[in-house]
Amino acid sequence: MITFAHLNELLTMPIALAQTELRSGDSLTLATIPVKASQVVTINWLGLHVIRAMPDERTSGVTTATRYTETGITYVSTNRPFFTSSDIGGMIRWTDAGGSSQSGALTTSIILDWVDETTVKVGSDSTIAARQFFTLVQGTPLKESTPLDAVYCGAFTHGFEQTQLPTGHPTNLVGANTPLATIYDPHQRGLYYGPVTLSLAVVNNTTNFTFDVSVTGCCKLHAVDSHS
Amino acid sequence: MGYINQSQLDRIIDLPVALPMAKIQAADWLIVATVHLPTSMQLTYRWLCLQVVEASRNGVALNIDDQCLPVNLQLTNPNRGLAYIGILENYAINTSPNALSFVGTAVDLVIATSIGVTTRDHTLADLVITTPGDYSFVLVNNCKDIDLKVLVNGMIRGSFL
Repeated sequence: MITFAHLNELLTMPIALAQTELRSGDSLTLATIPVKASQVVTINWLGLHVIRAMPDERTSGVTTATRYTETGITYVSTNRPFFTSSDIGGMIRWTDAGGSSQSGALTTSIILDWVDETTVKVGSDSTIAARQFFTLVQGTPLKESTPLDAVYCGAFTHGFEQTQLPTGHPTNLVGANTPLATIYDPHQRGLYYGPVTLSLAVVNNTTNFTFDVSVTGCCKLHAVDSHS
Repeated sequence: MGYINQSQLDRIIDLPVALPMAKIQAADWLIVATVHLPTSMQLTYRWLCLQVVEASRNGVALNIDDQCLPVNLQLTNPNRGLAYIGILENYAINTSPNALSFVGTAVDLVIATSIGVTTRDHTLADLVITTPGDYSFVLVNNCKDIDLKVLVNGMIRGSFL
């Protein structure tokens, strides 16, 4: 039976992050819990909701792209590759000579057949305005740490190094690559015996996507002896 | 009077629904918390507090006494005050909450009709949810042209069946 003394020793702590924009490569520490030698923390619930995925935009302006035409095909030259194979699936936008906005998908065939290190074809549209910028809306999240999901949340022991990401593999890991709500298996609770400093953090593991996320969870702190 | 043991206590999880004071723009909405409910669990919703701290138009705070009354404001949904929060099942963020049916009954929707604090009446019957799904607490600024500073705190209890 639960005695009042036991209940009094048990502290439930919330883990709460309302909808927040997490930019590419960024992270947020949600809670830090110093656990003393005689204490234990149980993560009873950890849920991650990836609400929205928004690709970052990249403009060719930074690479001083120009256009030229050869055998009826319009090319864009850059000082360094503007589009790479990892950009497949993205959309590009440009302005035609009449000032109207145009767009098209960056497909596999475009990358394989028409792109090399210095040129990229954006179609046979000979009406592309000279000296104009191309904007890439990237289609696929590029992950910094490939074994982990695009967005993940978990517990880092010995603190969480906010400035040097990624910082290893968290425990009680829950993650997602697309917008969805997911939880760490509630039947497998994480137990962390002190002494340890436990940090819960949510990480955007991509270099080219911004995510809206929310995190909901709770953990319980109690004395080791009281959890029989 | 019944008693519970450690195992039963471990099967009860109180989850936070919390938003520190934040500005929510006119006609906008956001998700405060989401609970993915698996099978063999249930959620019990009893208490939630919504506070509207300030209303402003173009950065200028409105007078509490008259300008913030719903009758003097342009509201997206005339029956839902300045702001409201409720539970939506399997909600997709791009869909306006105004057109959707919230889980539970009218008492489970916390509606702020003025500046100040509004709570779900905890003396009312609990809302119990047993159908697996994703349940999101969605906070809505119901004003068409007024920004609001709001905060939310509450909880929902998860229990293993």
